Amino acid sequence: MLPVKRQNLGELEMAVLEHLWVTKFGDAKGVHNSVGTQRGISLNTIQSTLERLFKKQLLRREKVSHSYLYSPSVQREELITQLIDDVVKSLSGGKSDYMLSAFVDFAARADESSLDRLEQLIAQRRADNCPDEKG
Amino acid sequence: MSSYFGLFQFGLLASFGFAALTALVSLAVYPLVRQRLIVLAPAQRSNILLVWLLAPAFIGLLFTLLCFMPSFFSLLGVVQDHCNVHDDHLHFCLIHPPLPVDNMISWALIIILGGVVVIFAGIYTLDLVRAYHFHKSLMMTSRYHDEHDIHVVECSRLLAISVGVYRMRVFISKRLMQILTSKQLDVVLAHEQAHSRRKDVLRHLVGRTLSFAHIPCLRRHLLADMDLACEQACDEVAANRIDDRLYVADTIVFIERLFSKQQLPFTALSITGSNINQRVESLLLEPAAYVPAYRAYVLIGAILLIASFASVDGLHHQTESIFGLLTR
Repeated sequence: MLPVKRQNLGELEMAVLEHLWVTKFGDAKGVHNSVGTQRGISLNTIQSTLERLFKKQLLRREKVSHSYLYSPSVQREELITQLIDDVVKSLSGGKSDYMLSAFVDFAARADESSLDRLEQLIAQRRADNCPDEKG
Repeated sequence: MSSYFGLFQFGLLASFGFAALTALVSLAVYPLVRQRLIVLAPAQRSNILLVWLLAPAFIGLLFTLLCFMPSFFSLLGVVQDHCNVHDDHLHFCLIHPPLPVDNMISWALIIILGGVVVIFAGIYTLDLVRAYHFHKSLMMTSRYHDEHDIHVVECSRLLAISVGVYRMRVFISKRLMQILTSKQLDVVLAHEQAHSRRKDVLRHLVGRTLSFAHIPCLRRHLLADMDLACEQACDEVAANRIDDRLYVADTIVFIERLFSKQQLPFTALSITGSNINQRVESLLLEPAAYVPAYRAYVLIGAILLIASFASVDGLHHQTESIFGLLTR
């Protein structure tokens, strides 16, 4: 579990995280060289993005010489899982609508006995359809 | 204050009055009609339920416009202006707009109605913003799988959803893809792609937003019934694609079992409850035939239109009389 409720991530924030998930750690200059230069983004923007991610508790940092060295405090899968959990949690309260449709209801579960009964009904129907298989 | 404000004031109150009447009739009639709706093909049922959800708002607006028709015809010079004949009561008229009523009750009503509209609009705007962010986050954290035209989410949770209001995208978690057989995956894809083709999320959004005039308990039932009809319609599409209804039923139960075993970090309870039982039981029956009823719809529409125009004068005068009594 993440220490705080995950907030919405921007495209640049995600790109920075993707970079740090691969390199494991990096300082603002290193991130700027890989992510910022190709996008025409200044070092200051990268620094404030790193600061925001740190405040969201998605990055750790330690001071090395005169600059901060950042590393991810969550892994990719953990972040996505938290995103999904946030949505299920909102839906389960019935308070919100995320404009989605799910193959099986996201936030409501059928109990085991109902599922057993449904399986029996399906098996029964299958047997009725193919009487030869019964014998 | 402009006298056209009076027209707006009465128009708004008349719309809500007609909508409230339709909602009350709807509350009384729906339990009787529901039994007949259940036997219809799910796709047809979902269309009828959407129309039912929109009925109070639509009828409220339509009847209010009809109330203005006599003065509109007078304005066009088609019929003679009749306001001078009835100068003893308030006029629902574009030529002689009524003066605004400046008393506490009418202001309280307008503020309450305006407040309801603002709250609904605010909630749905917030929902749309959340949906947009969720969609964006999913897009950023998933990888496109061009063979199946889906987005694969690298996530330890089990996930099979379609997101997006107009252009829907299907997201399936990598873990679910690893667990499902190729045929089961076909069932899930056929079901989700059917949602996308039918624009079910848009249908739900429109139904939910424009059904505000319904009595809340009936509105919840109608929305739940429409959502169930949409799910069943997509199950039918999957059953046709796979050509095996029982396999689709089996897949639904299989995935529901997987979801039940999934450990969520909180209690997941929905106000609508699970609709798995109805979906599977419906797949065990022979599919209901989709009876094309376009002629019936056109006939009913034509009769309603003729009846509405025939009763324009009566509607206009009765509404004027009621407002006259209320403002005396």
